[in-house]
Amino acid sequence: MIEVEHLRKTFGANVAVDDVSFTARPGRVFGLLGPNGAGKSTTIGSLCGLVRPDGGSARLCGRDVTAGASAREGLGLVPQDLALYEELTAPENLRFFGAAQGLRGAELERRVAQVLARVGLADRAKEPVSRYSGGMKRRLNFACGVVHGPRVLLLDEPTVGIDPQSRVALLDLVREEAAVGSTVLYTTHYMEEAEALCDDLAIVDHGRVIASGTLDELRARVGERDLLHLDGTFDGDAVRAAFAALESLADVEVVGADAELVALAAPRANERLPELFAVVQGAGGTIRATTLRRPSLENLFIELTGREYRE
Amino acid sequence: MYVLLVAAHELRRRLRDPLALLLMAAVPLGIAVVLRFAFGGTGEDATTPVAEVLVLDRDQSLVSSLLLGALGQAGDKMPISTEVVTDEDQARRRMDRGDATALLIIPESFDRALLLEEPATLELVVNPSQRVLPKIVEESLAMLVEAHFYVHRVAGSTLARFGDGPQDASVYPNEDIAAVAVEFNELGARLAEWIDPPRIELDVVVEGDKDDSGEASATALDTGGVVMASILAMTLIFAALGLSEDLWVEKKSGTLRRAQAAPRPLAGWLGGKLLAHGALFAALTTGGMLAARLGFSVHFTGELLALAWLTTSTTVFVTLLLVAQSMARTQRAGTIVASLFVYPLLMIGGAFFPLEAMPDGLAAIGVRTPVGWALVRFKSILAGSAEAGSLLVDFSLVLAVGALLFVVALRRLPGFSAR
Repeated sequence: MIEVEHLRKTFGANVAVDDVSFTARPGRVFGLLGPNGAGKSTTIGSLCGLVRPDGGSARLCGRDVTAGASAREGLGLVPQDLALYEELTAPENLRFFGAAQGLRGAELERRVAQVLARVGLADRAKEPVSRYSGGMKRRLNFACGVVHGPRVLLLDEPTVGIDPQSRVALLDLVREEAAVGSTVLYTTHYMEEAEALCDDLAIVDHGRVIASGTLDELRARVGERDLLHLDGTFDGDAVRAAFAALESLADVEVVGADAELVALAAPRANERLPELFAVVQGAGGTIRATTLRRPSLENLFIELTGREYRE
Repeated sequence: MYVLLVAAHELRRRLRDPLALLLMAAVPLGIAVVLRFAFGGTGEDATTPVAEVLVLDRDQSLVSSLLLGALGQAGDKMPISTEVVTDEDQARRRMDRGDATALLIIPESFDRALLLEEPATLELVVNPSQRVLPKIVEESLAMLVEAHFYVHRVAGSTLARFGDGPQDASVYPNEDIAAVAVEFNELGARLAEWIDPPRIELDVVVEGDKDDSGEASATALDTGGVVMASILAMTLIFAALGLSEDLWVEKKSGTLRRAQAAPRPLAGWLGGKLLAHGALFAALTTGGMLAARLGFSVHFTGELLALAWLTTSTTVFVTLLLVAQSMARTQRAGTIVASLFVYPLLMIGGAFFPLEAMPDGLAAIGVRTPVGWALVRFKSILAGSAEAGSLLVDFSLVLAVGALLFVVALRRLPGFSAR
C-alpha cells in the first residue's frame, strides 16, 4: 500500500508538489494523471527516496520513505528514462538490478529467466541491449523494475515514445503486476492510457491533486455533458452574462471564457449548436473554429482547470 | 557483498567496450613506441652500435698490445671492437668500402717512445660515412694519450727503466719486474685515496626542493625509467578522466536513479565503481610495467609496491574527478571542470614532460601538485629509494584524502542525480 499525506516539495520558488494526498491499494493500479510539469515525477521521486520532501509524509507498506534504504525493500521502480546498461545483455541487466534488490543465486536466475520470458525477450537474450528496438528496451526497462517481485511498483510514464503494439503489451504487463497483488502507482499524461489501465486516479495539475477517485467516480463528475470549445474573438464577461441570463440554457456551464476561447459544458451539445452559437454571437463574439468533445477525463480536466489539457 | 557485485558489473561493462579499453592502453603505448623509434631504445638489451677499429700494429710490443686492450675498454656505452690486421693496403681498401669505423696504425718503436716519453705518431684513419662512432674512437684514443701523460708524471722514472729493454737477456729479470711491481703497488696505495673510490659525486637536486627531503632527486631511474613512469602516469590520468565521465552516462540513462532507489546504500554503489576503476588502473599499470620491461628493457625495482601506490593514488584522483563532475550542471560543463583539473596537473605534474626535463623553477612547482607529488613517490618506489616509514605516511595521507573525497562525492550524488 502507498499512503501519501499532504506531501510537499519545492525547488526554490517553484512548488513542484503542493499538499498531495492519496492512497494506492494492493491489487489495484493507481493512476497519477496530469500534464508535463504537474509534479508526477517529483511525487514518484519522493516515494523512492530520490527526492526529500519538504513536508507531509509518504509510507510504503507502512514504512516511512524518509526512514532510509530499508523503506525501499520490496519497491520496484520503472523510470521514465530507459535506465539500462546498453552494452550489456538483457539477462546481465536483470541480474544486476535483481542482485541490487537482494536476490541471489538460483532464485535470481529463476526470476531472471521468468521475467525475460514474460516480456518476450528470451530469444534475444544474448544480444546487447543496444541492438534492441525502442519497444524492446521499454519492456526490458519494465522487467528490470519487477525482476525481484516488488510489493509496490512505481511506474513513471513508462510508455513515452513507444509504438502502439508495445504500449498494449506493456499495459498488459502492468495489469498482471496488479493482478498478483502488487500495489501499482502509474503516472502518465496520456488520458486514454489512464482510462484504459487505472482502477483509481488522481488528476494533478501545478503540483496539486485537483480530482481523485475511482474511474467511475470521476466519469460521474463529468456527467453526460459534452464539452464545446469555441475559438475566435470574444468578450468573456459578456458571454458569461448572456448564458446566465437565459433560463432555457441553465444546464449549460461556461467553463471558461476569455478574449480568444469560450469553453462550454452542456448535455447533448451536438444537437444544440445553432442555439449556443447564437448566444455567443449575440454577446458580440466571433466564432472561427469549433471543437466538440464527448465526456472524458479530458473534459473533467478542462472543467476543473478551465484550461485545455496539455500533454 | 554489494560493493563486489557493483565492481564486477562495472568491469563487465568495461570489457564490453574493448575499443575504449584498447585506446586507454594504446595511446601511451604508441607514445612509447615512437620514443623507442626516435631514440633507439633504452636498457641493457637494446641494440648498441659497435665501433669496428682495424689496427695495424707495426710495433708488436707489450705496450702496443696494452694500448689495444685499453682502447677496447675505453668505449663506455658504445663498445669499441679491435681487429689486428697485417696488410695496410687491404686495411685501407676495407676502410674505403666502409667496412670499419677507423684504421689505427701503431708505428715501430712505439713502446720505447711511450716508455721514454719521446715523440711518436699514432695514425688514425676514420670512416667519413659514419658520424658518431669515429668521434668516439678518436675521443677514446685522445683520452688514452692524455692518460699516458699523467702516468709519466707520477711514474715516469719507473717506466723509463724499461725504455731500453732488458740489458743482458731477452726478457726482463724477475728482480726488476718485482721491483717495478712493488713501486706500482706503493704508487697505487698513495693514489687510492684520490682515485678509488671516486672523490667526485654528482648529485642532481631540483632547485627549491631541498626542504622536501630531496624527493625529486630520489628517483635514481635512468632516462627510460623516467619516461616510462611519466607515460604510465599520463595513461592512468587520461583513463581516470574517461571513467569519471561515466557518471553522466549513469545519470542520463537513469541507472543512477535506479541505484538510488534500490534498498542498498549508495555508498556500496560508489564504492563498487571505484573498486572497479582501481582494478582497471592496476591492470593498466601492470601492462605498462610489463611493456616497459619486455618491449623497452626498462627494469624497475619495487614494482608491486609501485603498483599499489599508483593504483591507490589514481583511484583517489578519479574520486576527485567524480566530485568535479558532480559539481557541474551539464556534461559539457563537467568535462570542462574535470579537464581543468587534469590538464594543468598533467602538464606541470610531470606526467607529460618529466619533472627531470623541466626548468628548475617549474619542477619545484610541479612536485608540489598532487600529480607531481604522487609521481615523485612513484618513481622513488620504482628506483628502490623510498623509505618504508615515509611511504606509510604517504599511503595514509592518500587514503585519508580518498575517504574525504568519497564522503563528498556521496553527499553530492543525490543532488547531481536530481538535477
